[in-house]
Amino acid sequence: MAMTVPVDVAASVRDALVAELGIDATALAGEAELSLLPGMESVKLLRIVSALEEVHGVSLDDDVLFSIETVDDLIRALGGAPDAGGTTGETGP
Amino acid sequence: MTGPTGAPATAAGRGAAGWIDALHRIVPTPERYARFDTDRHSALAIMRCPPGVLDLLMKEGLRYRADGDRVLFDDSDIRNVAAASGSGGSVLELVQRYLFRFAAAAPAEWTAERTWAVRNLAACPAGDPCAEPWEFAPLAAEDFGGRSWDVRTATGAAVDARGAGVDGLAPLAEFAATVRTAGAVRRVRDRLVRDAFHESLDEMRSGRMAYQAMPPALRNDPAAARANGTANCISVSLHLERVFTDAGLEARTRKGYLMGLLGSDHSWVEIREDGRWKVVDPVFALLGLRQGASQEFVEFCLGSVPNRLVPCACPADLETVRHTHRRTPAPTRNVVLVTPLKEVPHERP
Repeated sequence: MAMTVPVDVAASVRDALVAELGIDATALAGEAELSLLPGMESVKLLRIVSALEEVHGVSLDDDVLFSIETVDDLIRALGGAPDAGGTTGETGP
Repeated sequence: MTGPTGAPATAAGRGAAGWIDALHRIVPTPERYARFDTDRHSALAIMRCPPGVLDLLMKEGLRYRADGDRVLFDDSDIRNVAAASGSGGSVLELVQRYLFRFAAAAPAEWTAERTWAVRNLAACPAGDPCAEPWEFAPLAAEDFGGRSWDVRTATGAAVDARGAGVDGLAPLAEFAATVRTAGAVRRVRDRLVRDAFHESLDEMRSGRMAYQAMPPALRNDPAAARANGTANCISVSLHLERVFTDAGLEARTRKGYLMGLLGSDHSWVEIREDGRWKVVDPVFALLGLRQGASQEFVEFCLGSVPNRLVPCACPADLETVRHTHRRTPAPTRNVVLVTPLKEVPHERP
């Protein structure tokens, strides 16, 4: 029987940003604009979104994608709750 | 590569095996059309794969030429291998997935009014400093019931290169504008046009014509492209234009921009029926179907104007950006960047 392992959305977003951009996780404030992060470009942003969609098993609608501007926007779009940069565990069914 | 939460840096894809399989599945650019002008840095920027994968592909038969201490690849081969790799993270895969996601949404999403900021950044692959002129195709958004404003061009140091490289090259010219688009539902009635559209779509879906990138000399010669067993938006548009005009119909091809989270150049053919121009775009239908669109979307692509297209005053066989290098027409590289705007900014009269 397959077991679903809950993934901490906020932490996964920060991990994906760090992995793609090679930046320090402590630089990732929730209100930071994604387009202004060091080394960010359109293709990299879509690679990050694509990776996160795969991890969380979702496909975001265009209007949701078009509305994402900040790190916290991306976390919310994926169904997570923004945090202060920690790795608080996600609970739920 | 994964982080502590298990989130991968990119979609997992099929690994190195997927890249090698792609190399053996693509139709290579015929030797007489091949352009070995893509260096290793640009190739990696297009493919978005680890350098070791490119080394492996070279061992497996990816064509290249040595130019001094540089290795040069055919640009179309690189793009086609990347698109077929299944990596999920190459530029062409991302373009296709995210630009055509809307096709699987409700039909109202295909025509709703939208506003976009578009930038077309261009680079000269010759590599050395280049100060020769650039020309961008003018927008013709009004032809599809839209409009454009704040149109500007820049070159050299005035180019705003934030957030973009052009296949790993520094952008040397920029076209920018704000555009409003509005789709419209139309239906082509002419039986010959409808049959030709479906035949073209079936050719690509079945693999009889491989949907691939091609160098300009090949894609601008639809008979040669068909003989090669390859098709893209340009060759299909030019082919259908010939079919339609040979049958006595009024038809023209068009180059423009495709809007979304990324942007892209795109080409289609238009026919004149009932006193207005109708878009005929089997490639749009093909790429929509690949993203889960329904037959209703296929029918939409046979006459309707999608809200994702911005037409230019430019036929399919001309580029949206043109450039000379050493006073002769030169190949250019460009990337189209689009920002969807939530609110319509103030329009200039």
